[in-house]
Amino acid sequence: MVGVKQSMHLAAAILVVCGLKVRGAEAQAGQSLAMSANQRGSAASARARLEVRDLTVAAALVRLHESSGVPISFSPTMFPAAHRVSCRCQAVTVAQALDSVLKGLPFTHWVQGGQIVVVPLPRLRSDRQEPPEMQLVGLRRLEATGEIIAQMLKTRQPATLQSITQGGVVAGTVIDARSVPVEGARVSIPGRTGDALTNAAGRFRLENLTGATVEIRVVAIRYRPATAVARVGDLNLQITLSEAPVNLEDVIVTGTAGETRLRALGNAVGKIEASTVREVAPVSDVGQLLNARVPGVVLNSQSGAAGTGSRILIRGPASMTFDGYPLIYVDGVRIKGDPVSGPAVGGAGAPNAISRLNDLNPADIESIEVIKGPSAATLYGTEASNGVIQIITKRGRSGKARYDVRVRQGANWFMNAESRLQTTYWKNPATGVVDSLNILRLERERGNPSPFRTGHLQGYGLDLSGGAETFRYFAGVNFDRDEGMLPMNSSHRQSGRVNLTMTPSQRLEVNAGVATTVGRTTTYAAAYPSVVYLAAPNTLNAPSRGFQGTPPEVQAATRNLYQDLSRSTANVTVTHRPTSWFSQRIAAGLDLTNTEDVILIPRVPAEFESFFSPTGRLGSKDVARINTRYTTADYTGTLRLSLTKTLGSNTSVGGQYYSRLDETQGAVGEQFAALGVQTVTGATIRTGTENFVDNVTVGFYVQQQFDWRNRIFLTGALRGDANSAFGSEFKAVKYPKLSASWVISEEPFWKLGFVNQLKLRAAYGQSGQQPASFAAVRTYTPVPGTNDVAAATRQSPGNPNLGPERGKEIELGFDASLFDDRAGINVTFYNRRTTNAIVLREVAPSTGFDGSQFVNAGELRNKGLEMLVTARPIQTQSLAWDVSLNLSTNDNKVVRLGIPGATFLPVGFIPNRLQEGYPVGSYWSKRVVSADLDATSGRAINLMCDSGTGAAPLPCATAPPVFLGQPFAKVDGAIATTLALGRSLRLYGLVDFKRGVKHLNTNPLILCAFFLLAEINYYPERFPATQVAECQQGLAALGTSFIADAGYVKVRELSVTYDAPDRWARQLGASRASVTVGARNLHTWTKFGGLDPESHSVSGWLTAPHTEAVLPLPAAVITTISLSF
Amino acid sequence: MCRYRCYPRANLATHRLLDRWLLIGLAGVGAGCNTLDDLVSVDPPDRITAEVYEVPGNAPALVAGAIGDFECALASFIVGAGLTADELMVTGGNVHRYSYDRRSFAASGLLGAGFAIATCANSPNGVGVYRPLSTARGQADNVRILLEGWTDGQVPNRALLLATMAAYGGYSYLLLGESMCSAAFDLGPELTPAQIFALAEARFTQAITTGQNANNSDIVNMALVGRARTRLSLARKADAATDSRLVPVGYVKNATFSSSTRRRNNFVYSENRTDLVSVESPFWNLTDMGVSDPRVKATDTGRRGTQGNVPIWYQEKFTSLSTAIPLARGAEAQLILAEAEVAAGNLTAAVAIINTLHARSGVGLPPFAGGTATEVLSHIIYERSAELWLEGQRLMDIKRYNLPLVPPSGTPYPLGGVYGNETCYPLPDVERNNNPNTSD
Repeated sequence: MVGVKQSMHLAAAILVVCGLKVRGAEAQAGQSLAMSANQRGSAASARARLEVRDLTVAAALVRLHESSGVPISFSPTMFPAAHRVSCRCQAVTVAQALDSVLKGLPFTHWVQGGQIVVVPLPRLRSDRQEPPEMQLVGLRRLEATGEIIAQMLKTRQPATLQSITQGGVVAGTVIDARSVPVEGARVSIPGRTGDALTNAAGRFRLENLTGATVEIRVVAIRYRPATAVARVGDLNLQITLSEAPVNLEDVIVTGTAGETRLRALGNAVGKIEASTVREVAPVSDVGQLLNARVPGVVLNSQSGAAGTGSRILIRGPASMTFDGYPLIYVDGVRIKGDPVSGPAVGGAGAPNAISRLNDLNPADIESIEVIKGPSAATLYGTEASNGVIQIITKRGRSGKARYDVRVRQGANWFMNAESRLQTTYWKNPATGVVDSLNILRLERERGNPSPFRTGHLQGYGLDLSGGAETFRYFAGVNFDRDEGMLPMNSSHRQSGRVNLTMTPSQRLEVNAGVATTVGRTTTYAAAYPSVVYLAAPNTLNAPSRGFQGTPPEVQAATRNLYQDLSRSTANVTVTHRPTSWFSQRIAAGLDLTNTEDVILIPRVPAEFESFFSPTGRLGSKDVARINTRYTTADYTGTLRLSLTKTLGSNTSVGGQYYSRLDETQGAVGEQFAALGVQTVTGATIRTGTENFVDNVTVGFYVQQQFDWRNRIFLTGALRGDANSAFGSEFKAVKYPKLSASWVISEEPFWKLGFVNQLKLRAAYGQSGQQPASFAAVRTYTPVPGTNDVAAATRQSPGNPNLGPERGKEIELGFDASLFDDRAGINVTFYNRRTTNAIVLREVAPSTGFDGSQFVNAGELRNKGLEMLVTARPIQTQSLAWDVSLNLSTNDNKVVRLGIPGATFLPVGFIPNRLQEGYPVGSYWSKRVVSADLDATSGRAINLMCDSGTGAAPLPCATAPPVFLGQPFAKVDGAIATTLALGRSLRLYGLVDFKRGVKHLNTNPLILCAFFLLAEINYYPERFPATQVAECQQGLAALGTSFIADAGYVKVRELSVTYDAPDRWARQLGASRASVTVGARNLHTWTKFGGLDPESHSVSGWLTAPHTEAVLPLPAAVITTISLSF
Repeated sequence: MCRYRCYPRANLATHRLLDRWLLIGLAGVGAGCNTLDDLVSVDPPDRITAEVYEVPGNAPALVAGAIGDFECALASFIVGAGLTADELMVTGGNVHRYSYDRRSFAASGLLGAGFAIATCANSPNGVGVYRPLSTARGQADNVRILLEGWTDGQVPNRALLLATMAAYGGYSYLLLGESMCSAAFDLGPELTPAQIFALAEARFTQAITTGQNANNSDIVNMALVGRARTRLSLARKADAATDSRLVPVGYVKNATFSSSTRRRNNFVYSENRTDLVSVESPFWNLTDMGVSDPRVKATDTGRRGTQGNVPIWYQEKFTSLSTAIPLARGAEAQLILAEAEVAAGNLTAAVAIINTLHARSGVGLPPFAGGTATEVLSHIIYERSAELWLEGQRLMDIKRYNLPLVPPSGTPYPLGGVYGNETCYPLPDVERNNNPNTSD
């Protein structure tokens, strides 16, 4: 009996031919192939008997060959390693047995020269009578492969390509359209033996060639096959592969229900090939990796400070109360991905926006998948209505050890700060003279250093990967040290990751990974930029030199804010396939995040004492340690059955346990006893706090999928969750899901030749958003009572009926590749309703409760269109041009508040509302539509304001606040393009944009309405009277003067990448060397009058994005050197 | 230990099927648990569920907590009302206090309705009045009702605790009546200040009666001063005098503070010493009959606020974060009595009271010679402004005596805009929108 061992031998034999070495296996390959190679004729109709259970496809094919005597050529590496087959095929033909073995896989088989070859079918239409080009390539190659195998087995000698080839040589490089090397591409010559796989640098070499020229064929996963005519002896041939715009065989990690091929998915899933992006784009954190690459995934930058991150919003705001952050998974384990943390001083605009997502090293990431809404995220349950981001880290590949070295050097700065800063004004009452001040210019003229600096960016990384089939490894370390534009602002991060893949048997695969990150982000007090932005001409001769209250060097010397990070993540996934029809997987993991936020205000040195109050001079220290622990346990079992010849069934059941524990300890010391004392212990007044919040979710689901002819897929699922935050009267929640996909282009009736592939899809699903922990119960919280005795005060009235919000989403769309795969388009329409929306209903103070109450009351809606278009208009040997456009729209609206008597709820602290019929968090204020200017007093008079009803304007005193815009963009998108010139040079650019978004432009508001330091205060005649009126009304009528259009078009990324010639790389001992010079944020087109339409404060989820004290996104130039060994 | 999701098993009935379904699934992954509840039960953090906390054994802690709430609210009230009156002013920078100082309020929004949104310990982001006082009032009434439902056997000194809660509740009502244009209680209808004062009076009366039963003069005197102050606001001076006469001249009931937490700080001191608020000009270098008044100590720091145009003066009445603030005292009762004497035509008695206060140790002011009723009343008003400076009395005095606003309405506000003329805080939207018994 030939068993698994022999199948391995065959695999080994073919791998040898393919250029890979599996030591010790070559000489022992069975002879049955050699014998059967002589049997030619009616191979497909030969009788066969195949009884196998839970074997790999390769092993089953060996069995089939043995039982039938028919030679079968194939490459075992083509098949999914995890795929197992079973067959009780008695009295069948070889063709029928092959159909059974290959069922559900994108492969077909052909008879050629008396043998059967098995070839991939990624782009084959089933009704085609002639094999496509790719199949011919494989056919010829594999025919030749069979001959080599026969020769090899006859001689029983270890075979290598070199041992059986001599003569002329062709060598070269396989790259993609952006000139990025393609690793693992198969290079062959039709009609002749011997092929090769490309290495990390995309290099290949074919020998023993005859004649003057040869035709070279290249096949690689995700790419269209390519052909090139090469001169024998050409050692620098370059072959460019075009990426297939739609890959229905791509495997999507849907997390809960196991891997799924794209063709079976009824939802849109955004996917970012991180390694590909990083080849050209100057990205140094995960946020930059995500930005502007997946339609519907919107990143809202907050600050230009080093170490800060962005908020991620998928398909618009899904909640009226809770933040809209998606769940984050790394290798199947839920991790902390909160975008806002860090020490903050200064209230509005405080730079507390350190993103936990950026603790991950982007160089460790293989790919990112974005599951956008409830229709796709149902199985993730009660916390997934904001979407899910799955991050898949790199795994080792079998083969010799490979080293990758990266060095990043760069700089970032506040571009054109002097001209972007608002000039301030003041009228000296003694002289009547109006002084104007550009504080940066004045400081430069005074010879003083700028408050802003050019920050040095640097990073160093080393990866190691390799292994054998049974044990593979990836290890990476990274060190980053970035300085921000402020002298105290920097971010240091060191990280390491080890991923192991073990395959002790064909039935068992274990993936395990550990990662750790430590670092420190030093941030700044909000006052530092504010003293510059709000410069005061009236204090030019004061110690503050014209800065607002305090010169920046005093701020720098007396404020020390930083966050220390220590983070470890571990994950293990065991995949077990005990039978051919059943597999199961269990994943477990931990994510431990320990941060320490420190706000140290040292005792003020004598020379700066005059700037501080007697109490303020004494200093203070606030230390907050937050330990967060995420625990994941996830089980999935999948049952696969063939119900009929054309109807398959796939049943999954699973359960998850997630817990999150936040422990916080705080210590505050005030009034240091002496200079130099900087510990809480050394403070005169010391207080401590402790708190913890624990939350547990337990869920269970069942999913059933039917497929018909591998073209139509129907999926239904139901999930149930219980959560510790639900009220006592609310026990559990159930979420249903239904989806369908139809690869219509594979139907026999499909006639549209220019459409290569078309998949239609539709999905409906629900998921939830859990309430805040402990929102359900009436609570007290400990506080010191009178005379400091232990006591408590009433905290929350609670709501025992509280349950999760429920997101219900339907999405419709299609994925198509067009014009011989030169263009691809993905279009999705979504409509999501959040019902039982949790509203943070303010509690009437008269109840005696000091706070708010969560109630399931409201409803909101998000709908929009997402589109991704990719095209390759030009592709020649010397020039390739790729362009892509992603676009998403979002139309969100509060449908119903559900609070009797209330048509709106105020959110935030100035003008934002949740108002029925309007976007979430919309801006409301009075808008002056006409006014006159009293030339004598300089005051606006006869103010008339928008009535809000379309009727005639009303006197502003009685006019209502009117809708002035929304804080979330209506349209978001990006255009990216890559131009590859020749072999070595790639030019890349990405421009992204937002439309239909408003921000509160705070600094001009403060200057004109509160500090009276704006030009409009002293030269009102230079401005429209309505603007003068809104300035003088201040917060009472923000109008369009301060609620400003924050749409923009930004040149986000530009780069030039140069791949060094091989000989240069070899001189370094490397297989590949490349240099990328990139830039970020070089130019912005916008109507926004503030420093940057993107950066804004983070004081609340729905709070008006406003600009006080925030830093603009810096311009940056970054050079990256990459070497592979 | 009771865990967070411990609730009666019977409640599970409605979802028993799903529960069982989930458990079947969980059994498949080897969870090994008895019920779904066990799995999702977690320990509560620093929060304490009401059902656990509101028990007779915690009566002293409940009372201490309620008093703590009031003391915190009182300090915020003194700052807010002091800004609205002429005792304090904003130095600049922090816009959250402008509305108080500018005497211009809104029904919503943190900047216009900070009085309704900010909590008592919310510095530096605001100064609360309506919310913290409502919380203190609710706490006091809640604990009082709990005490009434318990027995003397369950709660030692129950009568005293009851009287205490009634007295502090009375003060919460009183301060709300003095500062709010209208207010509501326990989701009830909107009440006028007079109606609010009536509720305060009832609480004080209960405190006096119960305190006398408990034989505790401290609480009785506190309630007497509170009721006298309430009756003064109701223009029932004779009734106020009756209460005032019963209070010893040396009596003082303090609100206590400490440096332990921000919530326990003397907020008047911390607001002033962190340069957020300054002493307003009417109380700079205050003299009484040409002699510097030792009761109003304020010093010029020589510095100015962040915008460079508001001088920073420090008050010296409270000298630390833990300095107590008088809530009710005999001197106040005497001034109430003096005012009643003027109303009754007993000018000599009124002048005698003033001079008794002048002659106290630590004051040492020359005697007041007296004059017409108007002159005596005018001097009593001065006496109140000085004697009760930064004790939360000035705003009501301005309203009660219709004193001129300083600076006058319409004067440009140094930090932008102009001064208004509002001396009470409107019923905020947070109450109106969430209380079904208030009109829209």
